[in-house]
Amino acid sequence: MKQRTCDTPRDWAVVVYSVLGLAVFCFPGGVLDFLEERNGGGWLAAPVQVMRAFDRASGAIGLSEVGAELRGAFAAQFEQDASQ
Amino acid sequence: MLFPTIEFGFFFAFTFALAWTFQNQNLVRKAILLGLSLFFYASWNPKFVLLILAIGSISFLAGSLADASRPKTIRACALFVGVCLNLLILIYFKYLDFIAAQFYSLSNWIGVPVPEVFVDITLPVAISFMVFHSISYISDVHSGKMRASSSPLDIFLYISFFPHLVAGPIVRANDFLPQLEAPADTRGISLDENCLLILGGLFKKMVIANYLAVNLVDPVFTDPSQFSRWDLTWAAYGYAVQIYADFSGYTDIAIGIAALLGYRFPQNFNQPYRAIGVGDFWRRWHITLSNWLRDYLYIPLGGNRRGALHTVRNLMVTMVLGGLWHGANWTFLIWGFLHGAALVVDHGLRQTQTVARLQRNPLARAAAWAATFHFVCFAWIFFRAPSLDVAGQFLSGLWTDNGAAGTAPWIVFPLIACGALTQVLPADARTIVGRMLDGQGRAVRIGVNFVLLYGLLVMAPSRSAPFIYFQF
Repeated sequence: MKQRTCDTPRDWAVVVYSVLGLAVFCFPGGVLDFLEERNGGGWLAAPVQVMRAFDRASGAIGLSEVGAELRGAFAAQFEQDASQ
Repeated sequence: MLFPTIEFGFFFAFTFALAWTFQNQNLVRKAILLGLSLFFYASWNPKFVLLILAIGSISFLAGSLADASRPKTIRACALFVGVCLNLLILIYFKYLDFIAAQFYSLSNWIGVPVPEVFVDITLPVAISFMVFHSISYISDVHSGKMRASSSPLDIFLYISFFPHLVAGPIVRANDFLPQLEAPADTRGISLDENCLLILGGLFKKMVIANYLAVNLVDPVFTDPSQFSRWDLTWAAYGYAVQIYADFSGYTDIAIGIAALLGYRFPQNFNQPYRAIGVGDFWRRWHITLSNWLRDYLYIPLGGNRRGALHTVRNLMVTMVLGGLWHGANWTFLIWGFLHGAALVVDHGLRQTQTVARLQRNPLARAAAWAATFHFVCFAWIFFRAPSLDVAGQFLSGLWTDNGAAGTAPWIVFPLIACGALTQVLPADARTIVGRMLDGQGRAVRIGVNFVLLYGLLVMAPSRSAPFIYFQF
């Protein structure tokens, strides 16, 4: 078996944060809603702005729509309201 | 804060970064992990953080006094006081109202009514697990299996470490405390195996358990009298799959997260529905609880060393108390009693030559598997039913059919099949795939883990129901 490429914490971090970052980029709506709900006093204004930029970028290349459509189609199979 | 939420995603991302930033400053790292674990627990109810601190203090002080270097009398007193204080905390929060209700019922029944005073106690999340960890530590120090820890920080972190805090697995002090002594390391831990473990746990919880609960199990157990025999039968099978997917999903995530922070937890499930015999089932289901009950209850009671009658008594006491541990309700007591009786039969049968011969016969093994699985499903009916009345309605409906038409949606059958698949896949499949991925380049590893997470996010409902074992 090949030598492991990810033995250091830094290598672990690259994999873990890349996967989480890609997931947020593909489904930005959930995180944006989460931050906006908690931004009552404006203390999350900067993260909200960043997430809005993510949301726009994801929407511009159609990623967020694809994700939302797939979720909607799957939820329909399970007789669930995807907006719940 | 539930594992499958955005809130926990942020919490984990922050914890992961901090924990590895301070990899070589072990004291700081442990202090950070303790602080974050208390914050994790405070997200349910901040005032109960004091309870963790109280249980941690009892563990540390009783452990120090129960150490082998102390005189025998002091050690015995420390064990007694430490265990009693833990049990009193557990009884106060978990059983006082139940005991009071039984007392009032009895007093009314014998015609001497007394004024009813209920304290209406809020049950703190994870109280049973904290108490079990504490008793395990004090007992192990007293029996000489380990030396008392000189670090209160280590003891508080052992009791409150957030991956196992809420629903286990029950980690033994002599497994976990030595891991805290040296700086955590990524060597010897497979990142991809643990990512697969976490993603698999999330799939079991968010897809299998959630959808089975919503589409079949919850409606049927709310009012079984409205459902046909067909629906009731599938709800019983469905709950067997749901509780496995829910609880093993939780512990998979917990074990995976602990590993990503550099700590190893014990295995908690080993394909339990493959069990041949109830004894075998308990060696595969909630393994850390089974081992805890064996080591701190069954064996101290005498185990199987004092003849058949004592063995029967010890098995029954252990399983009935194990049932009651899940909650102060007659349904859990009956569930524990059924398993205790089945273990007595199982234990008796295993002593006979005929059974030893039959174990080599494939047909007999298949029959034993079917009998075990259906017994476990039958006992789950009592475990899931909110009251004995509902359990009675469920069993009565299985017999009479209630005259209702079958309504189970088609989607529950592939979900149950998915649950069955988890029992027949090779147990080491994840390890093999994880280690193969470890040998690949970063892009492949990121790609594979991302594709799996993407699929999970497509399938998962927007909101996740709490884990079943949170209430215990």
